[in-house]
Amino acid sequence: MITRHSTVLALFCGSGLLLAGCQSASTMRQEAAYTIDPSLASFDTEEQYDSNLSYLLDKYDGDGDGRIAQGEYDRENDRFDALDKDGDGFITNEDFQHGGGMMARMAAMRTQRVIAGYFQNETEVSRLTLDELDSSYSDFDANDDDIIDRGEFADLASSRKVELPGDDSPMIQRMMGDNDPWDTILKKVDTDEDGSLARSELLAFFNEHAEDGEWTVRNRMGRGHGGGGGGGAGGGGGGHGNQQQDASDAEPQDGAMIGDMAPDFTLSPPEGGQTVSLSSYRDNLPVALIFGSYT
Amino acid sequence: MVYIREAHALDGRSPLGGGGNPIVEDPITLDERNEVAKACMTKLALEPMPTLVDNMDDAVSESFAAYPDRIYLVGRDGRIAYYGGRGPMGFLPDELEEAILKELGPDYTPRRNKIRVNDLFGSR
Repeated sequence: MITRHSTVLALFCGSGLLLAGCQSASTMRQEAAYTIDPSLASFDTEEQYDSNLSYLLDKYDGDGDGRIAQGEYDRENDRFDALDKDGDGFITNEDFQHGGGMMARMAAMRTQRVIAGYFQNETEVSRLTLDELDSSYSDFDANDDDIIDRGEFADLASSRKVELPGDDSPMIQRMMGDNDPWDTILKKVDTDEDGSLARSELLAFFNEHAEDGEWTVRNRMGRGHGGGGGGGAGGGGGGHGNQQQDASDAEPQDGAMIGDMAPDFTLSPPEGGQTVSLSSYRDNLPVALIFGSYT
Repeated sequence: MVYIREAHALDGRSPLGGGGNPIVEDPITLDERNEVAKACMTKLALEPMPTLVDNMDDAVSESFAAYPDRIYLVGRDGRIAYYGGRGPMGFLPDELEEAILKELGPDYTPRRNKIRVNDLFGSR
């Protein structure tokens, strides 16, 4: 899965071969207790499904009518309700048409940031109102025909080159590539696909994503720009000064903190069998805990 | 690895799947979760890494604020020596490597092959 997959790859690309090197502490730079080869990762069985819906239809659409009735779905009711987004009693194509997927949301969010970056003549991109966007549109639209073409965009964009917060993050770069800003904007906004940006198209896109008549431009997933002051988690404890983490979302709020005794747990491996307790390593070995899921 | 609740199950909060990406229904029972965890290890070629599965109450995930991804290093003294930021943005293995080296200390002498993963996790 994109996030999980790339995360896991990052894990191994990033640190060489091993992670549990610390478990077999001997191995850190010498020799791994085991090695992971990301090139062996393969999703062959899932690749036959081009969408979540086709997967669901294959699995649950017993009568083959292209939709899944509640009676055909043999899992918990709240899962059905979550999938039947429009509440019409069937899981259908429409339930997957609202751009509700995370990729679609990410792409829209990034387009917003690019637009805000170029259509707001300020160095600090944080919010954008319809009026600001409209008047900025006029600045770009040199010949006043309510259409911005590539040339008009380029003319002004070069002088408005705005640093977009978060664009240097590895994840954004992996997901989006370093797309040309004009192409990025057109992809989401140019609904008639004529290769230019009509005023009405841009304003429609704005309104589609506006809350209370304005955009709050997010620099990272789930965080408003410059929000900084969230939750005084108070710098991760003394003595471990090499942590350079930006407060709010980096701190495991309500989670374990540096210097705390790690909360103990006893869990089983997926194939069952002997349980393992974290505390059994105490006074013996350090343990790396990599929390994550498949997707 | 500690396998925790699926981040992008198709019936979860942030569905993501299809187009070559794995499609997973959010496990309801521990048996189902174990199956997904096994698929995770197999498909991502992570089998060599010892893996445990959080219970359906997500208690371990919660006590470490681990969802959807996070890295910790627990020191020999049983205390938290390092935690990473919330994943995927904060999932930075290089930081872990640095923390591991720090935990081992400058005077650490490798004990070659004295301890093997199988000794820690039983026969796999």
